[in-house]
Amino acid sequence: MARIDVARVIAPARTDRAPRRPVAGSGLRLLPALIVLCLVFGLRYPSAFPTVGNLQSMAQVGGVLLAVTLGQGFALLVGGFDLSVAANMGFVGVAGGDVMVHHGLAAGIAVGIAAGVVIGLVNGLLIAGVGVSPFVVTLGMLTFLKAFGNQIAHGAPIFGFPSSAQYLGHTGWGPIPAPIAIGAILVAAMWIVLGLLRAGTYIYGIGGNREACRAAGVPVVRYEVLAYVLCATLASVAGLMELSRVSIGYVSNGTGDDLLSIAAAVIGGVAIGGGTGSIFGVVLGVAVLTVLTTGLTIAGIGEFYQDMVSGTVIVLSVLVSRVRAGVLREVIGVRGRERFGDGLSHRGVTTTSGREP
Amino acid sequence: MKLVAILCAFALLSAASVAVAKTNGGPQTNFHAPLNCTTTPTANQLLNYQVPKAKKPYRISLMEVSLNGYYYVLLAYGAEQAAKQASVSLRITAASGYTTPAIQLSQAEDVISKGTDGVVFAPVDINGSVPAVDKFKAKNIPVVQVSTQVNSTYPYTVMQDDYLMGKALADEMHKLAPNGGEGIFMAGPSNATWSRKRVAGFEDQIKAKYSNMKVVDAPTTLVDPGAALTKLTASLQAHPKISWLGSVDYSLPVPQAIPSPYNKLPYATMGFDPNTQKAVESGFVKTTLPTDAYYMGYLGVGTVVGLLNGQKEPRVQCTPYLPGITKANARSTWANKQLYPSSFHAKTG
Amino acid sequence: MPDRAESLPLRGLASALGRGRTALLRATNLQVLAGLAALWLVFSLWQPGTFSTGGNTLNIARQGSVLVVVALAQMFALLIGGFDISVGANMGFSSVVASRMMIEHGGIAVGVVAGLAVGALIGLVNGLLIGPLRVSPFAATLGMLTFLLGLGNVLSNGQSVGGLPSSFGLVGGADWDHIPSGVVLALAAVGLSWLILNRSRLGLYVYGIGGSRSAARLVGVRVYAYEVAAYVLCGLFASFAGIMLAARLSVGQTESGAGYELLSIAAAVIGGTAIGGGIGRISGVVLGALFIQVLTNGLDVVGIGVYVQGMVTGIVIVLAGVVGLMRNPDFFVRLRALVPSALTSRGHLRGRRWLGSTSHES
Repeated sequence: MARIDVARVIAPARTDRAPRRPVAGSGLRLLPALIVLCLVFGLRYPSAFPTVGNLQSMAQVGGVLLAVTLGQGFALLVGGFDLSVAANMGFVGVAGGDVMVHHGLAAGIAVGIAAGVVIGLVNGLLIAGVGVSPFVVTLGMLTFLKAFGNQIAHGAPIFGFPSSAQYLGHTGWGPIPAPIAIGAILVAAMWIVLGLLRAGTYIYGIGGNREACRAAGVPVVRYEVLAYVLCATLASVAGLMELSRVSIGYVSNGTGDDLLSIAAAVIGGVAIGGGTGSIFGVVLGVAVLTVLTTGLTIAGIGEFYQDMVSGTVIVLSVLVSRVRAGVLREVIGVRGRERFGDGLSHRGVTTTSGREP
Repeated sequence: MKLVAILCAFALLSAASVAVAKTNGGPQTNFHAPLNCTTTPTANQLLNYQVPKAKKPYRISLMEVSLNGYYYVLLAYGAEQAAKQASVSLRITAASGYTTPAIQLSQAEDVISKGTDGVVFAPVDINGSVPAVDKFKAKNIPVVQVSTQVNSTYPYTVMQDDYLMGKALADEMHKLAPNGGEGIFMAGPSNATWSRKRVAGFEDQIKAKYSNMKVVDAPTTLVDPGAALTKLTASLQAHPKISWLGSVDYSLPVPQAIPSPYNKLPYATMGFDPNTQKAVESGFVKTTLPTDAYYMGYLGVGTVVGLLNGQKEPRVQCTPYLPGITKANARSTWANKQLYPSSFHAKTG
Repeated sequence: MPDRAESLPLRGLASALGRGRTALLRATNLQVLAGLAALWLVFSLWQPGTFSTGGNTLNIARQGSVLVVVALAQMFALLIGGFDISVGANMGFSSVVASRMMIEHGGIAVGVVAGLAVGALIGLVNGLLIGPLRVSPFAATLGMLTFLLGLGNVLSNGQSVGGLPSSFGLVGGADWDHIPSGVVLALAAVGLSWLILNRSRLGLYVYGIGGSRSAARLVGVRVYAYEVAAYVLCGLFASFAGIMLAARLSVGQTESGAGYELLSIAAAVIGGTAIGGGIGRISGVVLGALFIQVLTNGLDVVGIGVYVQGMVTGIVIVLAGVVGLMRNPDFFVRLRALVPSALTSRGHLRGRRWLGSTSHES
């Protein structure tokens, strides 16, 4: 029985995309944007922005977003997405927090992570196994988790964590804020998964062309489920970090991070539709969003104007990266190569439509 | 060229947006005014208030904005206690997640379908909840609005005076930081009336009486402890030399989360929950002004029952926010009336 | 431009698609209808005195009319292969613009026209970003959503815009002689979208482009133009829903559309519109919106605890998705293959012929 080299089968199917590079590549385009933002805020507010204190506080906020966005990156890479990550964080804040208060730090962490694994399994099996669209599954999961979390908490806050819990997000590990330290460990771990382990190859492949992978014998369902499990587990870790940072367990912990994590990933070059993206891009995307929101707050810009600026920046950063991808030529009308697939993955259930947005 | 055309369109659009944004106009509410109170019970009077016995087994509905939050569950607890003592039945409606005026209007219609004799109503929005009140008005169902007002003369009112609370907090802040100095005052959502009134009261009182104090920043934030903490830490970078810290709400941010060394500064806030009680006892919070959510429910139901009984009830009852809760009275009867037993579960139906 | 020549192959394509699709979609509608009937039955038996009354039915109609219109808006975006998560913010923003124009520049008509114009403009920007500029629908509409929330609050000073003329209620709030005006307006929107999608070239191309963008381009259709048009329609219908909502609430507010972006997608998907484009019927979207509305209203009326309501809604949404999949005969093959593969840790699909048999390291 001939053994088919999966990588060689996958590669020709992805002619419309650059070969993956787990470190550099698509995310690198964001670096100038980040540098510009830092310069603008640093020069305008020299006593407030470019300080060690600010770096630490940005690292604290950004570390949590980084964990969620890493997870979201996995869901995006296999061609889907996960809208339930914010509800996941809140749920872990309540359920994991409650266990932590009554049974100690280790038990709380264990329950939190276990919750993430279960959530990821349910999501993954429904999306990859049964074939329901990620939108429907994660919307249902998010609605369910919010309600279930409230049911457990009955509106009351979860508080009174053991003092060791502060090292999850509130206190620093030495001079380094806990969330960024944990974030760095997660980044390294995920880099190993994506770059060095077979699972990484498969995840990129499934996002690139699911049918080709299945034809090559890749256990597609299993690795897609793995991607969603990683996504939900990372979100749960983020939830644990957030409950420590905020010193309270509320169902509302993590509000907004569902859309923010997708935005950060997309800005960082992870394509919706799957197959493209890098860890480095994710880190840069998170950095850009964190620097932007911190800078705007330091500048004292009102909340409404902050929203307008954030919205514009999201669109502009994607535009800028698209322009460099050759869209400029296409729009101006120069005949380019016909682009089949349009960068969207093809799902296997129906053979005609069914592209993920 | 297509691209040039598109870019021109965007430039035009942005210019138009900015021009439009600069127009003066739009709704102007005066946040700098106290309520028109008919009665202002003291803490003692409230503690001694008895709910009237109902003449008939009325069906009372409590319509809440949400049940996700200690304040709302406490309100429901107060209402339930009152319903038991008055011998009336109580049904609670609330939405989980977004409660927009649309949902509240739908719920009002549903409540009327289910059948109700009197309503205790916590509005979502001062204008947007008016149609819901009008539905009750059309059926002559008495309404007592709690926790915030709507632009309608129909309902009776039981609520805290946010503007005066803001002023009182400034007084407390001055007591905690008599040498004055700069400080940060955490505001709530920029489109929440209760928050804007509290900020207005605080800032007005500082300007009027405490010239040695200065509010250097009043960042707005959603009612989310995480977002509030993020805003606060960013603001602290811009204003590192502050001498005091204040907030419109006990969870914005959670006191134990304030980064050191700022957690040594005097911190005064409003509202109460079990974690705030702990924070007051451990010194993270020096003073908090209670918001009497229990009494909104308790007094609210009592007032509705009174109206249905045919009694005359005061039109606007302003609940007390003094005495503030400090370490000294953190376990007093007054403080405990700002909490519900942990076994209580509010049930909607 | 050789009009006929470009339309013939596409027409052929569309009709070939149409023939195969019609049977499938009629089945979809029947399923949603069956689900709707089941819900109605359950709730009526549960609370006979309150659920199936005329008054409550009118309530459902009033509440649902806004959802129907915004689900139709979302349908245009879905059909062309994208989606629009800014519809909720669009609704709120349009309501603010319409309300302010109404009060400050005299007249309900001025306000309504301004609101609709703004909605179309929002759709235009979305369409330009997503079509010619190839920004992903998610990024473009998320950016738009955030921007609109900010600008809407600036225009309204963060407050709701009240004091609207009382006759404005007729545009979606009050009843026209016992018939809720919202229902009539929703029917008008349904009629208009039917005309567009089934009786115009625009509709034909929208389905064609959604079905296969590259095929459409090969055939010579000006894909960009029709993509932009689809998003303009989406924005227009969304702003219409926002104005109807403002009429119902007598207030314009930036956040009034919160939640409708997800609900509209859910309604369309339940009604058989495929994420990815090309498939979807108006009747399905309407049924899907009614399904969600009846579910929400019913859970409320029978008195299920609010948290349990959320859990039930979540489960129902997923079940609806699964049921939707059962329309495809491949589905059961997949399921059957899933079980043995889970047990034996091999990823083959049984019952399908692939490129010979392959072995791989487990």
